[in-house]
Amino acid sequence: MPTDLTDLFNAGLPNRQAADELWQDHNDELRKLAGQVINREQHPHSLQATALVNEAYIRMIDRERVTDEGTAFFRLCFATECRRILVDHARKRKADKRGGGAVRHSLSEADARLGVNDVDVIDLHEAIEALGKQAPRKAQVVDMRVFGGMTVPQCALALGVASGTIDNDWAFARAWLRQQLADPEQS
Amino acid sequence: MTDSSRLDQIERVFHQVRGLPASEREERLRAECAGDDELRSQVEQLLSFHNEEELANEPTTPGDPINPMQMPERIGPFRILRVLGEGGMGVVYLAEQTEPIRRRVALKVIKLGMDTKALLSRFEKERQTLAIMQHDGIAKVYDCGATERGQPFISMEWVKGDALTTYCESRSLSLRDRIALIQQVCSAVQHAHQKGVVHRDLTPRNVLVSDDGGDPRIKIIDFGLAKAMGPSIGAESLVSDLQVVLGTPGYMAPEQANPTNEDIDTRADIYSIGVMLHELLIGVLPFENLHESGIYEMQRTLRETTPPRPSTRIGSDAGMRAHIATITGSTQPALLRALRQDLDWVVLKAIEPDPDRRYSSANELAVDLRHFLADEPISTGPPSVRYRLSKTLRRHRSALVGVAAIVLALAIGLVVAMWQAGVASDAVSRHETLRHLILLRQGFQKEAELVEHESNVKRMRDWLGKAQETRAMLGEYRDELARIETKGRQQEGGFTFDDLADEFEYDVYRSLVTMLEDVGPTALKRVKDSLQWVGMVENVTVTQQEDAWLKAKAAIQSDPRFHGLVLESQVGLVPIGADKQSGLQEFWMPRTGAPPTRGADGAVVVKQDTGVVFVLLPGGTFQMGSAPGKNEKYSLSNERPQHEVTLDPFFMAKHEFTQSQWSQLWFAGENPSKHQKPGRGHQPVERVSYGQAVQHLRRHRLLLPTEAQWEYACRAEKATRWYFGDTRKDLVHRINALSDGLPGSDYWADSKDGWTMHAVVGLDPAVGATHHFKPNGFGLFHMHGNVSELTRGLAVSSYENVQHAPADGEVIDGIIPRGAENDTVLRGGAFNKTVEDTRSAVRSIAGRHAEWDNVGFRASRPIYE
Repeated sequence: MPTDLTDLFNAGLPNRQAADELWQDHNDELRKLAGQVINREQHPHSLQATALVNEAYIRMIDRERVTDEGTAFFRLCFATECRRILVDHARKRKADKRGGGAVRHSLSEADARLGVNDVDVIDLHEAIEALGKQAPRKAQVVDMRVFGGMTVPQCALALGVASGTIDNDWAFARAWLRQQLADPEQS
Repeated sequence: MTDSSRLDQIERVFHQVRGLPASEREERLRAECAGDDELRSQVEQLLSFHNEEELANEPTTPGDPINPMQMPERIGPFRILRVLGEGGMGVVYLAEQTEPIRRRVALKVIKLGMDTKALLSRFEKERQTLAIMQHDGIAKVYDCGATERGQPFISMEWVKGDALTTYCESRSLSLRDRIALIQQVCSAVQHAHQKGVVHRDLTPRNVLVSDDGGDPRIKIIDFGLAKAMGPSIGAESLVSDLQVVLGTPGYMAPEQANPTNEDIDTRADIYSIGVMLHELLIGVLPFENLHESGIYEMQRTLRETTPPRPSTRIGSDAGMRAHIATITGSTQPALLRALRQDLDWVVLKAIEPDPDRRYSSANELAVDLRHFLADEPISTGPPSVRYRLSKTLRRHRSALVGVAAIVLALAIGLVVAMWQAGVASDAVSRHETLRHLILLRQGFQKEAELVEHESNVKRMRDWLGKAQETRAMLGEYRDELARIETKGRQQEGGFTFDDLADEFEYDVYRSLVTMLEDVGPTALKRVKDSLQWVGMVENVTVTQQEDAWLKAKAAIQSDPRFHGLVLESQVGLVPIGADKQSGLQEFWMPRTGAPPTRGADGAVVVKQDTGVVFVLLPGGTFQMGSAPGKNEKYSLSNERPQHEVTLDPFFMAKHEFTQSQWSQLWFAGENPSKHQKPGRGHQPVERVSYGQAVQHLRRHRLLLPTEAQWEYACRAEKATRWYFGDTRKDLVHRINALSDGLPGSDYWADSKDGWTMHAVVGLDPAVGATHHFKPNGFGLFHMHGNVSELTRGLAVSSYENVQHAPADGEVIDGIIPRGAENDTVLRGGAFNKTVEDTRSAVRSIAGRHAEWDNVGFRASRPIYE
């Protein structure tokens, strides 16, 4: 059990940079893990991003010692990573001629949380990245809510802001993304 | 695209307007945008994608950390640590008690406004009762008191865990595991009921589940609290605060919906368990949105409506069905079948509006669930005798003296009652018939247990006799089914009926007819073949092969790798001599196909109808898992640490199980594989689930290899990453895996070798397979590629958690990660896996129900005495 990771996440935001660096060290492991979770799913459509985050959490964090803040911060970090992994996976599948062919690859869980229908995960990813360029925190909130399966208070804990701020971010980001995804020409 | 400051502007206006009713938005927008038409139109567009209500109704997880500002530091002797949850009654904190003993407790602080004094005295009385409950599944209640501000509080055992539904969803528990949890609930509730305590508010939030890495255990909280709290609340709050008084809408029994009804007994809890079972099975409650209709409407609904059958509910909603099937890991038809056959009736009996018709105890419900899990007939055998009878009686009410007579009649017995009611006794015999048919169906399904072995001859003969009789009746069953169908309405996937009794009858006949039509012929053929085979097997494989066995035994005894092993002749196998390269003895299993031949070089040639070839492996001690040192960086955590394993000698199949072996042996031509080609019956069989593989192998006394056996067989005494070395340059012509685009990784030039995804399992000059994919040191093919292979392993998370190293073909015994109880471990690469994923030590996890086109298996066989 990599206890150093647990400590870092327990330390929370002030140690963001250290966590990021350590994160890079564990990236391979994470991606392998993700691959296993993804391979396990029968239908890509049913893939739950939160399952991925949960699995990573169970394997990488010492649950005896982790604090609520540590948990929230871990989920924040991994939610973003998880989105990228899913997107890479979707891209790979599309490119892989022996894989799924040119199928749309949407995530029912993400769809449900955003209140959209059958949105391609790559389009969603690009929209979130675009949002992140202008309003980084909002993109983080989206990642946490959509990919990390986190509640508003958990998001607040992870970012060290008030719940009301998260509420607002989420309300705005959700509407903004829905608009972008509904009418891609506008972006 | 807008720039950041513009976005801020838009956002500011957006938030100011979004909460307003539509009528006021217009004006506010005009004021805020002050002539900036572009801004206004941007906000308006954004608003059209916003839905305030939807946002407010987003599900939140129970136990969210709540604003810490509201949290007191101490309450009485307790130091408050954090908020655990908030409910109708008040807030629950995690607190630390220092005196008289130091412990962590869940502290429930009741809302102000309740009559503290009455509540406390009542609770004190109740506490005596609660204290006598001693059950692992019930959280203890410690004490009660009042805060300085007069708020009553109760301290209870702190239970870590998730709400029942949350737990099942987050771990995607299977149908069986969900039912097992409900059984645990039954056991705890039964205990409380025996002690005279009724919960009155059983909901998933009060049933917490934790597993600590092992088997999930439930613990029920708040037992008896509803009663202790109930009458102390003013009448005014009755309607507004239903949950406090009565139980949670949706989970509470109809008799509880009457606020003046003090006569609540144990059967109210049975009802709530039934609702939870309903919810765990199909994800929704029997009645939804109850609380929206108001208390009187709710009472009426609960008392007068019989909820639809769960299978009908999901049967009419394909989306829900797919969702449930995914989360429970069952295939959709399997789920529907399980519901239609038995579970529907168990649920319906538990949530009967009339308490007299429910299960009379939690135990009775648990027994039926156990029957279901064991594939035995359930007691309620639905519109159970009682149910059917009471329906009949209701129709003939005038013929009876009164309600008392009905009760008496029920007690005296069915026949008398029917007679009294002046109803012909054919309903009784009808019921007996149905029961008989259920038994026939279940008896027929016992075919799976008839292992092909001498010791089973009598059982196989008995079964065959009965099965043939049953099968001979198929025509009559079909006619009967057609007759019943005329009473119902046709719908997608079946018929529905106004009378549940008809529907039950329909289900019984339909499942019997379907089974006889679908699996009947295969099962009959298999058992007939087995009987015939068992009769001659010893003669064919041992008596007639005496010379071959003598030779093989002598060779094995003199081979130092076997340390003088004296092998008995193995009934069912025929020795075919040693492989030239490995020097290991090989055996053919005639039951599975034609004899293999040996080519000019002495190597086994596999044709499309060749039977299974086994290699007897010496076993011994080897290092399992990824080696420490320079190669460790290529490994995954679940391959570490490397540990020593000792194995007895065992038979391992030289190749993957082939498509023709599969269809010949079990399915009269059925081949589940996705990738198949005429003339290529010797491609590996795939899209077979773990369960199917285990079940079908068992019929012939074969097994899946354990993970340890598999890895030992794959390594063939090599400690390197692949059996042929540590570097990729040796991969050429050895692995059928996905070229991953790295330089020099052209071992499997996509499709250029002419194979459709997976290659035939061995060497067959007839289809050009003469040099591809060389065997390892034991003469085994395709351990690293082609298709991944099922093992008997449990999905333990890493060898760190292994309690002891497996030996002698044991499965790995260790801690199973959460949610992985239904997983199995796949070994070896596959045509669509990258090269790194083909290493000897790689383990990948798959659900036991998964049927994938890149997963096959190979058989193993212990040495039988």
